[in-house]
Amino acid sequence: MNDDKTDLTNLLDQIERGEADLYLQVVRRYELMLRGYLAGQLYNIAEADDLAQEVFVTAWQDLASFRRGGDFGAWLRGIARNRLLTHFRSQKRRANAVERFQAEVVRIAEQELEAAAHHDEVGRVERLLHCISLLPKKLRRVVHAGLEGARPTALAEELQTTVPAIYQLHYRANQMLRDCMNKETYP
Amino acid sequence: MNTDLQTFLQAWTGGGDLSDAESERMLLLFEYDAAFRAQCVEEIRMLGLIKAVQTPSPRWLVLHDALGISLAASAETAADDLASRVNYLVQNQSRKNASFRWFGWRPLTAAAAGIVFGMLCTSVVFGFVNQRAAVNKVPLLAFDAGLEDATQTLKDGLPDSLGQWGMDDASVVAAEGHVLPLQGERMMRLKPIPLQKPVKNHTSRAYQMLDLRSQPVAMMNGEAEAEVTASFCATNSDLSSRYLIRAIALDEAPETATKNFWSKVESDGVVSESQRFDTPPGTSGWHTFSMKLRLPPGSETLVLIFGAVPPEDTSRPALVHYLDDVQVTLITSQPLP
Repeated sequence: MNDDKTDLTNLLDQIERGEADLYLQVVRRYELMLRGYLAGQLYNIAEADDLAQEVFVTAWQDLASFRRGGDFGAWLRGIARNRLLTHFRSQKRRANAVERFQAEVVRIAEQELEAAAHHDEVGRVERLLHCISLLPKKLRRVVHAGLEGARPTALAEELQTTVPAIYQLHYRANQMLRDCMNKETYP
Repeated sequence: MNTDLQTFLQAWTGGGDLSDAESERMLLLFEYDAAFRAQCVEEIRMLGLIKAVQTPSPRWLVLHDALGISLAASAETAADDLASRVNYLVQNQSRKNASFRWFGWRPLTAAAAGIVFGMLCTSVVFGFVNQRAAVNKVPLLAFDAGLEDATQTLKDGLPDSLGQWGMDDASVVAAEGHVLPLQGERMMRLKPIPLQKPVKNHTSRAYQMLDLRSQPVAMMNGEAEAEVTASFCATNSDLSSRYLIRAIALDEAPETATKNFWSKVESDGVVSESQRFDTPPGTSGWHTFSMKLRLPPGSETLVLIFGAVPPEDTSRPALVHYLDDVQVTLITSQPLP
């Protein structure tokens, strides 16, 4: 982690000296963590990605205010939280039931969501994809399909099972993924 | 999983027609029951992470604008990053094996070492090292939008540039009927080619081209193989289906590789491998098939063809088929440095 911080500090120093393109390396390093954090609050990946982009732009503009040696991921998530609140406020009047529900969840559990994301250091999120590939075929299928909207119903038909069983399978898959992410090492 | 957690997730994902009163009850439970809240947070966090890792990385157009750099320039940087990351993986293999605990057993046999360099239907590229029978996959950079870019134009026939899908009669679609994409949100729909159409081959095909020059094929001293895996699904599983995967290695750069392609393929100097796969009637869902091609030294371009072969019995209806989750792996039997 200290090596990572030194690397990041060097990178930020170079960026500050005018090598703007190096900022994309920073983006690549943190994008999965940030997109995952936002998708864990919106579940709509297109909206999460739009917000992630806004966060990276804001971070770029305010880069001088980031304290060197600090937790860059936490700093990004701080910007993301503000963006999320603005997003939910701006959507308030036209939001549908799901968006209103998600906004309430974020309002109630803001601290828990941040605390949970704190463990998602860069390599850990990357490991998730590998862990998905290790799931048994049926669980992998459920994880690939996701739980969005009518998907559990369509998937239940495809797998000739019930909607509650799909949720149950996903729940089991999530447990296995957490186990795998905790066990596995990363270079 | 208890029913409250399922109801909560249905409300959060939009996966059920919950009444306002039920949603309200869920929010109250979430607010005042700390244990329930902790459980919900764990689940939605994991759902978000899964969504992010399985969805292609955005192109960050606004960000590029803000930085004042072009997308093309950053693509080059990404390619450099990928190459250095692959080198890093290879150079650190022995250290990784020592610390890799997921496989808790001792190495038994000397096996293959490989580097996956393309997952064409998702955005994520794996570095993949497989040595002494233990498999280790490490995700690297996103470099290819694969099938997930809804706005991409498919080239009629063979692709003439990298990153482009070619096809005979195909389109990129989201879920259709009961068929859901196997990976991500989109898949390739291979339409049957009418037998009346005056073409030499009625197999409905999709094409992709990969640049081998940026891959460590040279490090493998002629011991490299490409393993191609693809998944297919038919609209009607009551009938049998036949699929095709073909890989062709050329010692030409991708810029010119597909010019006069078929005459090159028929010549002796081109290494090509093709396999057909059958699914019997009554087997529904996605079917995954793999084939391997030995890559001769000096290979610069790999052309891949995926097809749904029309039924031999011309009185039988030709089906629509789907293609998804294409992966390509470089494999060598040589020990890693």
